[in-house]
Amino acid sequence: MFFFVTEVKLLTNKVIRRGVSVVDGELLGSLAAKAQDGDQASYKEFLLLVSQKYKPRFLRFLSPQAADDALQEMLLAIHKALHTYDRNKALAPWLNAIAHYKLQDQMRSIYKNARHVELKEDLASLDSGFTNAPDVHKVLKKLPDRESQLLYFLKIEELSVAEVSKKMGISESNVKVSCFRALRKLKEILAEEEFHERS
Amino acid sequence: MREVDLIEKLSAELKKKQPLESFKQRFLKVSLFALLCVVGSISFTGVREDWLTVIKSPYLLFKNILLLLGFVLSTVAALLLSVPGAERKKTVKIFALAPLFIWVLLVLIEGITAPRFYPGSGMACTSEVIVLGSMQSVFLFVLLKRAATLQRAIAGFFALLSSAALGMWLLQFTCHSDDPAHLLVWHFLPTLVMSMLGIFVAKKILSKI
Repeated sequence: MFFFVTEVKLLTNKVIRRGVSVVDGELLGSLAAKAQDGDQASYKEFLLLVSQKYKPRFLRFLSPQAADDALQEMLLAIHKALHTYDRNKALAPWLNAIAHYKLQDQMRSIYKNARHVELKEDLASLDSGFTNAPDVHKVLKKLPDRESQLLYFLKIEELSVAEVSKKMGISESNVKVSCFRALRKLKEILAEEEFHERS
Repeated sequence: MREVDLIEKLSAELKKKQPLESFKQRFLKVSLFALLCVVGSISFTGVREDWLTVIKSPYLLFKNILLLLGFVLSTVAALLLSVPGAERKKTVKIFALAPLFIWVLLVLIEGITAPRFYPGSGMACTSEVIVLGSMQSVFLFVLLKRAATLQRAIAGFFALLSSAALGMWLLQFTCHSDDPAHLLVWHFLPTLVMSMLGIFVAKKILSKI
């Protein structure tokens, strides 16, 4: 968990810091200053611009639903912390700190939840995409070796989590998390292929 | 709720708020309050008879300065962490811990070279650290609560570290013992415990942003 968080921090920090350019920062800064004085119209414009700037950044790391959640958390945080923005200083560090923190928060909670996902019940929606695929072996080849091997043992050979964990030399919680991620990745690949076929 | 709806809701709820005081103003307030606490504490406990030794001896003066720096830099870290984006570099946290770390290292070296390691009794010293630290930390938390702390646990740690470090610094003038074992067990250990408690206290007191 520690190494995951450290790796995520470095990567998200790099991307989020590019969120607001100098020109945007000046415009947003002036809107934020007016919002601090109680100007509701400026505040609304400010929040809309912030959403436009930061949603694409969040989408690089999160699913659309999770990115929406993270963005809403960010907007709420801005609302609570607006009085702390110093209008004599640049807005970007203030805004980027909030964005970075909320993004990490969201990723941390997704990772935590994934550890508790039960294969049979909670993965049903992801599972059906996999097991209903016309050619399961062809589908498995789209994943990296380790993940396709994991799904093969769990879904084709129908081994238990404990058996797979022993066979692959990884912990049981790692098996569950890796399976969740592999199925999610597969779902995205199949959805993208379907989109390309239709277009 | 879609974000557009949330934006509408937040815009409608917007009210003019008093902007947060600048970092300098807040630091000045903390320093003045610390001075008040120190003066009050000295008037209650008195100073050690040989308190001038602490200033005249270069080694003791250096240790004294380290403790004072520990208080100052931890306060700076806590105040910076209470405003999003104010902490520009991670080195702020490292600098805040460095003086106390060096102090502990010096005392440990003294302890290793000392003929015996015997802390003796020192509940009075621990009480002073806790009482002074608590008063200072209450004031500091009031200031943190007015701000918007993202990293509550770390801010709380530095808030209580700075408060307890102030107590440790004052003890240099009020506690008669310079024994390394005594310093580590009755001065430093309560400081460390209080700092760790700050992590939990901050999560309870400071609201999640």
